[in-house]
Amino acid sequence: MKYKNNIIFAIAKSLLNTLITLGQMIIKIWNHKKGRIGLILVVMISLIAIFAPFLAPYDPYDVLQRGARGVGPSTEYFLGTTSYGQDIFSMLIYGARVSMSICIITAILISFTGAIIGIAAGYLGKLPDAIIMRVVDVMLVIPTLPITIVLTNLFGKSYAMLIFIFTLFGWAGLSRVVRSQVLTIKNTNYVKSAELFGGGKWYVMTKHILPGVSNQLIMNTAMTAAGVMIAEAGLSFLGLGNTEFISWGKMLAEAQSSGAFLLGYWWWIIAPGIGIFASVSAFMLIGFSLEEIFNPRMKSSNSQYKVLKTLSGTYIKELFEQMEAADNVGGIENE
Amino acid sequence: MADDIKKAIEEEILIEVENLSVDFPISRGLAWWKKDIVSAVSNVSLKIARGSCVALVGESGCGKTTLANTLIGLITPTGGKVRYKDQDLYEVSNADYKKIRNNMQLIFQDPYSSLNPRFTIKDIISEPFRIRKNISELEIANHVERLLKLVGLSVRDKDRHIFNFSGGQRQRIAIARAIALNPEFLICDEPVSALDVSIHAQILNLLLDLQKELNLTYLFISHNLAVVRNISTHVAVMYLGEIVEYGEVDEIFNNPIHPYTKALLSAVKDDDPIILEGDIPSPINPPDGCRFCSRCYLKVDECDKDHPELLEIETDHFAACNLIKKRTA
Repeated sequence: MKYKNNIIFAIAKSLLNTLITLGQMIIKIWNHKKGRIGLILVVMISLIAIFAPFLAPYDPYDVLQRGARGVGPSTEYFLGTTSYGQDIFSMLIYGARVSMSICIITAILISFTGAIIGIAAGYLGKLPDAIIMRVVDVMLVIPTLPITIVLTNLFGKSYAMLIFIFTLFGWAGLSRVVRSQVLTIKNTNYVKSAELFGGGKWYVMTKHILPGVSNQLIMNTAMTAAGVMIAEAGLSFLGLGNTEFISWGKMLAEAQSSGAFLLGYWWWIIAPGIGIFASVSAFMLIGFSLEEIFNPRMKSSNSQYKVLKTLSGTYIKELFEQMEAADNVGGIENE
Repeated sequence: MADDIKKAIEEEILIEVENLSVDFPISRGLAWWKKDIVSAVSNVSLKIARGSCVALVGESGCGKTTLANTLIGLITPTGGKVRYKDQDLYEVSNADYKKIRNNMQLIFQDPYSSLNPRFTIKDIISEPFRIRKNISELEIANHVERLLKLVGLSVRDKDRHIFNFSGGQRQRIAIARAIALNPEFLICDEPVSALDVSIHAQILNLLLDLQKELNLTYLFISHNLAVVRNISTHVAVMYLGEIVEYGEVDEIFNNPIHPYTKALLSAVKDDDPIILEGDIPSPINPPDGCRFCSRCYLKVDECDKDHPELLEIETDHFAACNLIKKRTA
């Protein structure tokens, strides 16, 4: 029996390979100090988002039911209520669903499109490269906010619309980064050798180039997720976010529009702020740790030591010693 | 060399290069419509017989690697022909070309960049099989084991990544990959110059053993004359894109004709070597006359104008020099 020509076998094998690479990546992140904090946070927030209906004490969409409006943090309402009487703790838990899912879906979509377009431009070269790169140039200079306002007004404000907008304006930068990496891999001798054996474009792209840029892609996915989280909050705050579900950005927007700042409902503002801060820093930490794993020269330990040295006085002490040494040299010359 | 071997070599011409030229247009400055031409290889003719090892020597930048890359098909030439067993490489159909290309392979200079660092040894050596042939995993595994044994590596290492290996071992892996599809013609592009001196002999002996075992034909690019003397049967000396002298290895080493070859050999042999003045001139718009005339210590006036042809001075010994032409005329 020939397994090689069996499509299901091939798909299963490639899936397994991807899982193994991801597993190895997660182990690497776990062994890294920054990465471990980020990983724990992301997993925690994701679990909260998945099991939101079991964790939330109240229905966050439950408006004007109990009559407890604008109550501060208490034993009954862990993080207080809004001026409409919604439980903020429940809103925070449900908001994680929208915010996290938009982040992860958009980050993956951007990585896919950016990778495919970047690899195609870099490897095919010549005319396709020229065309794609001009499109990328245009995409990079388009002002995002006015276009977003136009698009949301035309097609409505929704969850899918947000993902579409973020992907539309996100892939160009990544594809440029990927292309530059592809150009270096393309000129290595192992790619030339594969071409000498008759390896076609598809073979080289999938076997040599995609694995070569995968590190960069995974790192970029983490960083993009953090960026999307902030962008989602920003758009929702401006009233351009989705209208269906609660998200952290939308909580902030509602707080602002119903005068939480004036009424002194600080819990309404701080809760989603902490959610956004925690998830953004979690993604950023994972991104930084991956950067250091893939490129050990990026390690920031050196500068940290300098600060410590200065604080402990040894740095200044060394400076004095150097000055004394310089004096001694001058003294000998004078004699 | 024994006469019977000599005869066997003369039996069949495997590769025939005829007036091969490779020019690269480059534009300089703001005038993009004005193209200067770098003639990397110009009018090279070469015959490589089956079972022989032709060494290509010359200093850096003289077009050795460009010639090799053109033969293997990585660069399209601007003129000339390459024949493989009487089939013109640039005129055959695509299917035939693929078949021919199965029989030609290249060993790269640097084993650190010619092997993908993400692959295991097994992946690297089995790559040709996966690309070219539709064969089962079991057969591939058998082939990999056979090839690893052939180049003297342990079969246990097949699942390791290449960063575990030294330069010499990497070059063995690269050789194993190159001979995977049983090629007849192998181009070795300075296969030992990136390696430690202590490893040179191992790799060269491996190449010699493989030549006997698999009946290979080599085009061996090098600038190490000691290596060339050991391994090759013929030597072609290149200067600035042209072959200036060609002949059997003993003949070239004992009786060099061209002043450039003499200078090269004296650098290795003599206590008082001939020192060439100046640098290799730019291949952009090269001189009309002899290309070596700017550095030649035997230069006469006509060298500036007359371009010497590659002439058969003695049996199977070719040289391109105006002085020799005068002497023979």
